[in-house]
Amino acid sequence: MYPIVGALLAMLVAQGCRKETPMPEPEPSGPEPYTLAIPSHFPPSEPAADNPLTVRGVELGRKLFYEGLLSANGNVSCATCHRQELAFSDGVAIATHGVSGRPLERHVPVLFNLAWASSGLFWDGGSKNLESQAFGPLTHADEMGMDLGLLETRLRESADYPKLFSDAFSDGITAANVAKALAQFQRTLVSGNSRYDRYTLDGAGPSALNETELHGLSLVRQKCGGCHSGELFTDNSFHNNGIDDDFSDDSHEWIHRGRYRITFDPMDLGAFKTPSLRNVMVSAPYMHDGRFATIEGVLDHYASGIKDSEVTDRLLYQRDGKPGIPMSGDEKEAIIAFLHTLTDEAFLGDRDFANPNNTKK
Amino acid sequence: MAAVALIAVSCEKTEYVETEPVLEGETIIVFDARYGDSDFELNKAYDYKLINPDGEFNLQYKFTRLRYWVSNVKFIKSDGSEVAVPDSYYLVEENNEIPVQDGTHGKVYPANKREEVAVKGIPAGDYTGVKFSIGVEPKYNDNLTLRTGELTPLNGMASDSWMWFTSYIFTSLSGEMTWVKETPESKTFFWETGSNEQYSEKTITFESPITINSQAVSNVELDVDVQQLIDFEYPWNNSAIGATTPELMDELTANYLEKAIGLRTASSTAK
Repeated sequence: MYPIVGALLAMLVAQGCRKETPMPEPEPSGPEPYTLAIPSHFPPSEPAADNPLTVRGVELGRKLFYEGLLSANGNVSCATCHRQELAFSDGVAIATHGVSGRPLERHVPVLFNLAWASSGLFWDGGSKNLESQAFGPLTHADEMGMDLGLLETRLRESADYPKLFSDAFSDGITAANVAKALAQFQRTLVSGNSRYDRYTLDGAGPSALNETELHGLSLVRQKCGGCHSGELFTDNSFHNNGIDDDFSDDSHEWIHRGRYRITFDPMDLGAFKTPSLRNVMVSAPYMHDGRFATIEGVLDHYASGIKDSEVTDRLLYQRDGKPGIPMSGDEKEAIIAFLHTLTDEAFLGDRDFANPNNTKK
Repeated sequence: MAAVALIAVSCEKTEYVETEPVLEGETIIVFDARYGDSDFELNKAYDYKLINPDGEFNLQYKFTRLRYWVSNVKFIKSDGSEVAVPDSYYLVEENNEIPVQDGTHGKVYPANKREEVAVKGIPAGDYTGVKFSIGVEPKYNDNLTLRTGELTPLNGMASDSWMWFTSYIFTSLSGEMTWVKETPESKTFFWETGSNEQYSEKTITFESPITINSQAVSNVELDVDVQQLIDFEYPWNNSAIGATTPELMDELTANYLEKAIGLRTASSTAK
């Protein structure tokens, strides 16, 4: 009997003193990553280290992009000024569609290929990343005029947003996550599937460019490629292209002085970011203040309208020291024919970038 | 009987006698605003004698706002090694009500006075000094969506006027200055610093080491002499200092770090 009792007691002892080891909780899985489809002929882009693309984040960002609640009066969304059919610009020189109705100081820029905008956002590159950029238009009195604290409250009190935010971000609704979601959505706005792109990737065949368009391509590479370079058709750098030669206007915190107010380099006076030539035929008017209504006006400027100043970019000067890029009438026509091939219809109509909300804003 | 004893012995818990462990502690750093030898108060007129190449002028200053970020606090041991306090970002401020977004929403940032910073999680030890920075380090200054400590763009230290150039406002001093003459003139002044170039570190050395741990109470009292903050050659002509006046921002940063902030006393006693 004693061995049995001994064994039973041994078991009791073992039971009594064993600490319960709980089963480990399964690791909660993070939000599903979103893989950006990058055209094979594009240069590599820098992913944002602190804001990886996720499916939920991009979806939320798209919904927020079209969301009027983000503005003081509930009526102005990002899409009010950034319209998809115009490559996310607004078709006017200076917008007055903000909450105050007052005109802005600069022309609304297009939005695409922002994953390659490595030199900062805004016409002078002052905003260091997409995440920080969003706070500008969100809070500006003449754009969306929103108070960031009130924004968080509105989103918290809405029916849909609490879940959408907690699905995308572990810390839920914050102004920072609004900016992050918007940045994620904007990074997905990739434009690289125009007729030119299909020609570049497929060569001859149904996408082939005709003789005039090919002539235009060669002219653009040769005459415009100093700034409008590569497959992005922009060097994402800053140039003074001779549209002004007087920079005495120091109003609005030097907004009219271009890159100078960021770098304080006198050679950056009146320098603005090179816009891409992609989708240029659907995103008139042109320049940082929208002063040229037509592309013909732009070409005329480069051919014979460049103002000669100390800070006009030397790339725009001919061998004899005169400013200008000589172009014959035929050459201008060929250039314009080519520029049409850079219109990315698939991008302009892509349902993945369109308004997902029921009410149109 | 023996079996019962076996069980009892096998399941005996070991008793630990509690002595007082010496664990990490906290300290209070006080940033006490002064005006020369006087207390500093908002909305009170202070006399200021300006002497510059153009002559001598009697000014008066009334302040409505003094706000600045204190960041990256590090305590210095006697061997010179530094202990960095993680997430040490604090907003020191004394301000009247500030309308948010120029009052377009009827919302205000409330009037506040905060001069004491409780720094926690400092490893137990004897410390001969402390370092801290004024402003926001580049990692956080370049991306307004990153969080640490008290840092946030939601309290007007990353407001509208700095949005075109990604940066927090590091320091903000404002109010009204009056030129006292036969017909006195007044104007508001707005003196702010920001941008990575203005991020600067200050070292304070204590007269004798202080002990920081869970069994001690300690504090570090600093003077912030506002009379030194306003030391400029031509304040009247430069009533706005900010992103478009980098040389004046340099001077203002130097006023904070080299002239205005100084040690009054640092001490510790056992609890």
